[in-house]
Amino acid sequence: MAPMGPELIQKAGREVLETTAGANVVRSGTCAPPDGHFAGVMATVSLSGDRGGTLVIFCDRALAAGVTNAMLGMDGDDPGDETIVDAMGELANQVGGTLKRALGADGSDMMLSVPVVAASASISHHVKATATPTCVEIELPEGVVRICLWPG
Amino acid sequence: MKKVLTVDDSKVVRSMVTRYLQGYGVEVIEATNGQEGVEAARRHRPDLVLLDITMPVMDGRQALAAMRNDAACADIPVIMLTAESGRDIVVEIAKLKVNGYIVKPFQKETFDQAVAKVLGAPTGAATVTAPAPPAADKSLPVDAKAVLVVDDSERVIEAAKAALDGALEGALKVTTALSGREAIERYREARPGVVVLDLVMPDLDGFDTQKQLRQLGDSEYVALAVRGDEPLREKARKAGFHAIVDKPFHAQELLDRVLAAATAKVSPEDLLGAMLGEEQGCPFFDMPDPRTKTFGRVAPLLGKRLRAFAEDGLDKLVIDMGKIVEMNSDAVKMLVTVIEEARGIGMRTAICGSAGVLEALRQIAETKDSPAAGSRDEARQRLG
Repeated sequence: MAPMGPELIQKAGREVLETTAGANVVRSGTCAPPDGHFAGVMATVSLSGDRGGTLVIFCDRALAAGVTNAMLGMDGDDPGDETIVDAMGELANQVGGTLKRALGADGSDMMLSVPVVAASASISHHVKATATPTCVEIELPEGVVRICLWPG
Repeated sequence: MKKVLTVDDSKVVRSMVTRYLQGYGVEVIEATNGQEGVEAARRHRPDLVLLDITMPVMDGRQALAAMRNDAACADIPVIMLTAESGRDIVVEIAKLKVNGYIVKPFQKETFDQAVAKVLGAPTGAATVTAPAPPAADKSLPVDAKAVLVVDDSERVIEAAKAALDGALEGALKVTTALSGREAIERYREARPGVVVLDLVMPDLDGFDTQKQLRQLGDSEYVALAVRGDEPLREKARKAGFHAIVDKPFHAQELLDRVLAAATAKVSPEDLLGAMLGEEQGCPFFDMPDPRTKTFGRVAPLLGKRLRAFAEDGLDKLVIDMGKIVEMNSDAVKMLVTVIEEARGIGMRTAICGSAGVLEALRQIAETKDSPAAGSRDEARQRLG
């Protein structure tokens, strides 16, 4: 079975950001899990089945707006909360799908949930999992995107 | 002009698809879930459907199966465009015959390779028309399908969403706000045809919210009011609320009031104009969903319009039941009225609709003089 390690998450995150949002990734690496409070946009998808887990993407709102505009092929104006939430949910869906493909290549039976996105100046989050998450950060010129996967 | 239907719950993906289709010279139709997608495929008969899998209401696998089982859209080419590519899913989908499988994230080159196989190479000269409203019911103005529900109680908001979501086969787009101030923001985004407004809210109450919203657009208003507060109801009537619904409300009552408000400003002539048309030398009547309560408004005009067709030598009428979700007594009454009007002036009639609706119709009504078919084309053929 392919390990659900940081390399896999980095690869999935980079692939999605580069392909869908045309992002120029400056660097990527592991990072510490975020604490329970966060400001910005948080997009979640659940992977259920043989190799389940909860995938969460964190970034600040300005970066999320930039990524959203890049996905839409636009620049300049703020795309608005509704569009940002939509775009970040799609990013989470694509990262989850890419991970699922990598993990499911050995026959693991997995399902991908519809994404859930929160955007606020203050988000308290708590993932119902006992295991420690695997977290990576992907640095773009405009800021950092963090992706965490809580197994189980 | 060829048509492409993009079915994806993400507006951003639908926008990307529209952008990538520039140069193919196609009209792009959008749907936000599988249910809307099936309805739009049935109605618009697109040349290609780009179908996501993971979506709320009805996922892409269910939508594909529904299309393949519906004579009206069984043969439409479908390309899956999805982040889902598990082996089991791909095998299941392959059995339902798809013309391609694009895995997200995707490059434009990958998109073009799959799409060009169905549409041919892009011409580079044509422009893409603005996306059509998702699964639009032409009997209503476009914005009438957007509803904004404003109440400071999350419980009420949830109940209202449950009542309105899924109505008209999911075509009603429901936006919510928990305060008057939030409603003003949401109104700008959603441009709703109908606003359901709690009259008693902190900070900005329903009346003040209505005043501010009226400066932004010309919507109809349905008030939510506590049962028994007659002075408040009187004030709402004077303020021009189209209807007042007591809290706690029955889901059907709220839905009926919203649908009635949505069609209130459309003239019967315009409503009928959207329902009655001609395709390939044969008139058709696009039967509205009974819940829109529009048929009663257009029925008095129907005979005159049908006579105009007959006078032009068009003596056949296809009655399209595609919008009928449930074959109930209201739907049968509408059908009988149309058939009798047509027969009265010497027109022959045929009926088309989904297999489920036609089977239900067969069980509750005798329509042997009107042959039934799965699509308008087939119905026309039955009429000779």
